[in-house]
Amino acid sequence: MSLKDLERLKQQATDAQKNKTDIQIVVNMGSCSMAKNAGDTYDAIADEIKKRGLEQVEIIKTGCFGMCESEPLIEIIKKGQPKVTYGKITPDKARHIVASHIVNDQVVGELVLSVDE
Amino acid sequence: MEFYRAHVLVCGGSPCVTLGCKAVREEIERLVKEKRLEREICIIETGCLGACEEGPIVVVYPDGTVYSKVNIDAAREIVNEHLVRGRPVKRLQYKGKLTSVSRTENKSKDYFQTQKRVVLENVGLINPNNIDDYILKDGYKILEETLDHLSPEEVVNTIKRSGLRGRGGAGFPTGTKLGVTARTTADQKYIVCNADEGEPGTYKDRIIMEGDPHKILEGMALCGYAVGATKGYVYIRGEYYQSIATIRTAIEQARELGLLGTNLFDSGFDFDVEIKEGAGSYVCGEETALIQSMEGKRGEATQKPPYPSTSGLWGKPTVVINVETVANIVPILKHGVDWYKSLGTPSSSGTKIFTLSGNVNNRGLIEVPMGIPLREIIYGIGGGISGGRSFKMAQIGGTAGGCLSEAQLDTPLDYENLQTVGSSLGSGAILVVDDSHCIVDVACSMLNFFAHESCGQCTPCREGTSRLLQTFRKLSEFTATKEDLDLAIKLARVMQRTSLCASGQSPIMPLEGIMQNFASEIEAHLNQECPAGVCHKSAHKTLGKEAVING
Amino acid sequence: MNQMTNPAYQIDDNYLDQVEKIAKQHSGRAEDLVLVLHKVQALKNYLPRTALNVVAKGLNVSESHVYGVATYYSMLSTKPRGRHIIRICESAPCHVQKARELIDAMLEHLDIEIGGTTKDGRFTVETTSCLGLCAVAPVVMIDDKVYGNLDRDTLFEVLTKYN
Repeated sequence: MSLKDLERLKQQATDAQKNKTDIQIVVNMGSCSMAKNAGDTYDAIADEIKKRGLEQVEIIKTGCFGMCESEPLIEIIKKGQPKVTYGKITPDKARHIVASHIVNDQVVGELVLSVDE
Repeated sequence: MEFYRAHVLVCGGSPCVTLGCKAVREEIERLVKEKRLEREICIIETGCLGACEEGPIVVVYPDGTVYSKVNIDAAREIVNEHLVRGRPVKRLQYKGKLTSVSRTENKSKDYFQTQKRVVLENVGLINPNNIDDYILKDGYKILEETLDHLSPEEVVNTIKRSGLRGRGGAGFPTGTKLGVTARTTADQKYIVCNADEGEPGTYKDRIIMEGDPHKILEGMALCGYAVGATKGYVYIRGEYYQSIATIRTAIEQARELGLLGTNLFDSGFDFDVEIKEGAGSYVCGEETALIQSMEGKRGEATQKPPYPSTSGLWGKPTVVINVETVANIVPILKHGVDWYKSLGTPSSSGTKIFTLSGNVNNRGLIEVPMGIPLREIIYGIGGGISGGRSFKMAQIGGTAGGCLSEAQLDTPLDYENLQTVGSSLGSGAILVVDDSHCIVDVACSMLNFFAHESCGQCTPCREGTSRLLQTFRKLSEFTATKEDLDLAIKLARVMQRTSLCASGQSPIMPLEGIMQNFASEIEAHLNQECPAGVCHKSAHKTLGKEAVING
Repeated sequence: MNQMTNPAYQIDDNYLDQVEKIAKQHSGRAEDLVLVLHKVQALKNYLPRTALNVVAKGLNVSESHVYGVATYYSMLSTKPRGRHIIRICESAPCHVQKARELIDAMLEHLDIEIGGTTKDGRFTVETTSCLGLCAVAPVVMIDDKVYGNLDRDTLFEVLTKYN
């Protein structure tokens, strides 16, 4: 590994970022999340995405960012739209969010924790 | 204890005093009294809330409404409208951002606004299982630059000047530690990252490991370069299955790209990391016990000196460094000493991660500059006490930390100030206990922990922890006497002086705080009374059995 | 089922061969003892005396040393245990979230005491130091999975997943 290699890797990662799919679902999968059934929530989202054939959607696993009380947390990032964070998500709620927010562009207001411009 | 439906904070920092906040506070107090609300509304003078040019500042909790430039008339309006009728006065509300106060509408946004994320900058934003995400955030670039531009001495000096102190509990200056190992000559030196997190209420290391593992590996490599160590270990407690898996993946990915291994960045510097798993022992968090455990022995503390810095793992100079501490290394080298010192207070630089647990609305973890008052964490980011109860006690730094009462809520959280109130920053755990709990019962829970976790090596700790638990159980069953309690405190002091490691040395910390700050409640138990109504003659079924089994 | 007649607790040559194989991989590396014991324990969920002897030989350390280590750490057990290990936390952060009531209810439900194994050999209940999940207290760990924000009903439901 040299500096050049590192820069090349960074460039690759940056390009990959640009080519990322239009919609990303970020699921917090830290231990506290897992303790509140985030595993099943993740599976439900993956299942729903597959069932609906939503190929443009990418699901990303990440660590807990500290709002453990509101876990499991998921974030929906759609190109050109503010990031929406949902809290205390169950598998059923997750399916509902996929149907409503991802497919029909309707933010599920009562589950929203925050909206970041 | 009274239950207040609202807390009114009026700032009393020096800029605001000149702006007449004393008069504002007195006016609010007078009106609240006049309307006979003094049992419902608590008025508190606080330190500076920031935004001094907008002073005097008044903040009303639980909703966290901030009013700026409050004069006497405005104060009257706030009392009449907000406190009496529950209608915040929009016209007087502060429009800007107040770093120390949160509003309720946009939970996660405020949650971040209050914080200064240095160690946690990537946590929750990157995929910890994908090294590309870390590289995208300029990961491993500091390692490259350091190997290229800086000498090991310069790295040690940078860390020294930054004022970074150990975040695991003891607060020892990290630069000094690195310096000692760097100066010691040996054919092999080691970096050991202490991830044996087990202090009750602490989970910062887990979150860092699960959220940004490469920052730990890069920091370890930098420490290795600074002291001349080529081998690193991450000692993770056995129960942290997910942390072990995440760090393992990170090590594999870094090795694959040549970011760990031999001749890093063609500099001739070798560094590799391995995982060591614990098997369930609180005492192993102590550095000498941890080293014993790594050598395949019982994890019992050894006599210091020699310190691990000169004679540690297999007798070689070893830097034992906490996860949060090592995660500070990259940011310091990246942004420089001046930037780092600008965070926090003169004697405690940088940020600190606090983990909130117990009876608060928003339990979770936060990273804030050192020196933020406890009250702001509990009522600001923590969202206040849950279930409409009121505050009773906060324990800082884990079960080995001091127990603070309401009167000490304005203590700034840094190394020095906590010492003055008989506590310590410790691991940064904040346990909040509401008034439905009995202090004796909570003390029993703490002492049960010490009795359970005593490794049995030192007699004062092994026998002492069980006796302390016994005494407080007697107290909760209303059969203890004043003499029993005096003897218990004496015993805890003996343990402090005669135990090898912090486990036996620290029960005195919470006990002293409890005896001082909650004297009347203890007194009541001597008179067969539990003000909180928790204790009764047949209490502690589970705890009793527990202590017998492990004692 | 009686513990002694339970096949999971039977020591046979095949089992001891497996133990020896694990020990051989770490031959002469006394520092790997804790790791070896973790691996050996994974076979039967506990560490029989005979297995400890095999480990001692394999790593070239004394039997007393191996026994000392095996009995020191709370995750290692020299007594037969159930198929699943329930680890409960009763540290102060869990305590103030009513962990004790939950634990008492669970012990009653399973009809055991802390440290004991259920009659059907399904669970052993042990205590652990803080699991670092205080934000979602009270917490219980079953094998390598964690469950948080539990109350009586949710915990009992979780228990039904294990057999």
